[in-house]
Amino acid sequence: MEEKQCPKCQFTLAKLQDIRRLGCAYCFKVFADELAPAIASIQKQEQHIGRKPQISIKVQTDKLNSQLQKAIAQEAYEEAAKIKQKLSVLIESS
Amino acid sequence: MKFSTLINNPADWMMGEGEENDVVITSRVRLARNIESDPFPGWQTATQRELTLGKLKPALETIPEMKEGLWQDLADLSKVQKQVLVERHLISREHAAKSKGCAVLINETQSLSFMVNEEDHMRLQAMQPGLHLKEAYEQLLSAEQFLDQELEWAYDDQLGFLTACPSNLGTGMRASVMMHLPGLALCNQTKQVMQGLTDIGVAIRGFYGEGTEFLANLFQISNQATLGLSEEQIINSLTQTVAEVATQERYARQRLIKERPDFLTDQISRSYGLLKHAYLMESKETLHHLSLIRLGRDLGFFPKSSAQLCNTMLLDMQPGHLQLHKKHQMDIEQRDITRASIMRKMISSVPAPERPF
Repeated sequence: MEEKQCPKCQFTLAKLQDIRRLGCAYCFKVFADELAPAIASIQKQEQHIGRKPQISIKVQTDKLNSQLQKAIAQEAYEEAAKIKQKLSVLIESS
Repeated sequence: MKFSTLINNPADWMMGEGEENDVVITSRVRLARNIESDPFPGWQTATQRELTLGKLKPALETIPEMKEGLWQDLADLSKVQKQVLVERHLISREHAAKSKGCAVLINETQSLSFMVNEEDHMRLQAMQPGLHLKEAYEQLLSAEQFLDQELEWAYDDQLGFLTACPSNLGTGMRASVMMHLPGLALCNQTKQVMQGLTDIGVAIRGFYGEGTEFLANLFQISNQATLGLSEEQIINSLTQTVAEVATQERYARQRLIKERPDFLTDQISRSYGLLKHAYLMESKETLHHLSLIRLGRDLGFFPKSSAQLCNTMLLDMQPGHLQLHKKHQMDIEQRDITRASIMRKMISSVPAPERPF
């Protein structure tokens, strides 16, 4: 059987068990089952109730713009149109 | 600001002011943050780390408070210079071990230090003299609002801010208070009080961090859990715990004054005498005497204004700062000689102890 691995950063389960740290944000989804007992033993609760990041319009626009460039480069025009639509909604709301 | 300016100027907290400063030396709060799209520093290649740093630097530069600060790439520092920053609590020991693609940004008053590519992409730290966790957190919050304009943090609705180590999930917050507890030590009550703290889920570390001895009667007390509690809850609960320990410490001091006044006076005067006249003093012994001088200042044996000197002496006796005084490498005996000489010189500005009771 092949070892479980994060598709985004190639971090492995063996590495997690070895260093008890993760490779990237996406690893928390990939290794959710393996992490649950560790989180339960370190932390009091399992639900975050503190501050949430306030993602700015600027950050969101930048992100959509780079997705748009990517879609155009890949000639995925349908996808590009969707992103453009999202962008205009965002700009209108700001 | 230049590195040399930072070294030649005392940090804000060293002035020795703030609430409960007879027992609480500093309050520190740090937040761990990561950029959503990038692998965590420990799993990055050197090139990836530099890319992350390239995203963080311009964002950090938008914070008004940091405009006159020191941006320092770790690769450009010597071992001694890094050690000095560790001793001033401006970078962690883990961060000092790093170089390429890692940096730190420190403000003019040395109350804020932002580590780039430590275990997480960002470690934002604020430090205040005395018991002021709330103020320290508010300083970070206002800095973070500028970063929110530029960056997207790794965040999950259930797990909160995502960090390389699961022990920092949620708020990503570690609030930590440095307490000076010589009264409890002289009454042999330290162990008991520390056990009580461990039982309620508070972490205790020595002066030099995890796994170190409780030198100089200094204890770093911090929250263990970071997930499932709000930032305010963490701060309020730790502030309350610290205030309770401070009451116990003051009670122990009063008991010593009442029941063993000669013993107490002897301990303080002895330390003063040794610091004033010794020609060779090792680190552990120096820390012990400095603790008693600080206690003497709190109890009125020395002028109130000697608080700053206590903090300066505490920094200047440590290996990194000591090395700054002598340019060449020193062996152990040379270090003990230099240390004693610096202490003699500094303590000479403090008048001989006068028993206030």
